[in-house]
Amino acid sequence: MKKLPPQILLSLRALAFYLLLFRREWLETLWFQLPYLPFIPFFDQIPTGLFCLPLIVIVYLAPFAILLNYRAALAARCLGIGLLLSLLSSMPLFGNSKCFLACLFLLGGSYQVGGWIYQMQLFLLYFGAGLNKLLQADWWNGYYFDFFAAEVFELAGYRYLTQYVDALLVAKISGILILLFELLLGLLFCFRAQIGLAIFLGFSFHVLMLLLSWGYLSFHFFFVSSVAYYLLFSTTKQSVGFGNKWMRNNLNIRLMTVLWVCFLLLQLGAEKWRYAW
Amino acid sequence: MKALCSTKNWLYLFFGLQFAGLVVGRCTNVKFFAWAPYDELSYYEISITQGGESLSAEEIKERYRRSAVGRENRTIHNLIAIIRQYETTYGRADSAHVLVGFNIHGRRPASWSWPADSLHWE
Repeated sequence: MKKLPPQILLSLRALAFYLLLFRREWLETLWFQLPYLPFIPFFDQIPTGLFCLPLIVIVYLAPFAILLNYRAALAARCLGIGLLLSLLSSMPLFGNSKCFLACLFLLGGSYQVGGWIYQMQLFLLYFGAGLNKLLQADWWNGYYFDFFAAEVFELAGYRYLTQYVDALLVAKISGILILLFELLLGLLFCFRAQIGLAIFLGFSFHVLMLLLSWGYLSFHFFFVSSVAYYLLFSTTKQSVGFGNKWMRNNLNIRLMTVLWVCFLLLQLGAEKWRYAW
Repeated sequence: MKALCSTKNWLYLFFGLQFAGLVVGRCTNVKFFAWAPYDELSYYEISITQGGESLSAEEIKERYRRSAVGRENRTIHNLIAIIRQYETTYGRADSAHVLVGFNIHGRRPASWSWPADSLHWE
């Protein structure tokens, strides 16, 4: 059996921790609450027990197999498929960050195929997001961003700025910049030579959104995206000039472990604080 | 046969399906597997009358696994699709009357009703 590269194992472990700590509601629905309003009508013909039991076994055991590095790649693939099946079996359960997480498990376990699979996934994610915004008038006339910034998240920076500049003008410029940025990011992920830049811009984008929305928008996407970037960076390291040292050097693994553990702990604390508040 | 079953081929299919999701998302109002997070925001309120009686917020949540009052971070048509599917399958015999009032981006108040399955823009 081929040994899993440490970067891939670390990424899969980070995702497994995240799933167990922050996606408990999703895991709870597997306890005989599926299928429920499935995307594929045939799923309704399958008895709940027959559908849920294999999913419970896979989805609850696979994260521990990953954490213990016992056939981690196979476990990740099975987990990804199990999670995707659970999403397909219930329309109300669907969420983009859940779907992205399931895709990453599947792709993380298929790392032998090459770094292009992460490039493709990130291209689809950002280009799709940009494309869906591109064809909506409210993203161009500023209505979306004005509502988003003034009413939904009450962004302090936006409120301050709109004291001096017309709110709709700020919203229009922000909305257009975001949708163009997402399209650009999607395209950058297509080119191997631009991966470093794409990761830097994507990371900055998520950090900015996180800061502007006081940590609400969106911790889930930020964390899962950071793992996706790391997977991509580790599997295409030559293209960004890090050479083989990147794969051999344990420093990056220690650094990422510390960063992700700190971030997960911080978020756990924030959630508890929000709940208590 | 071995080539057909290889991981690479399955991944081609996997990405192909995602591309199909993007295309379908462009052709319909409903965008589930279209990578469309936060592309539309709306506040909504669901009310249901069944046999002349109104259902409580808890009953509505149990019925659709969605809050009776809340915010939809994706297109409102996703919520409507969930309700429509429930009413045409599990709740077909209920003869429920559903009204979803919503406001897209705080500027476009509208409502959707079942069984008429019609949208009304105010």
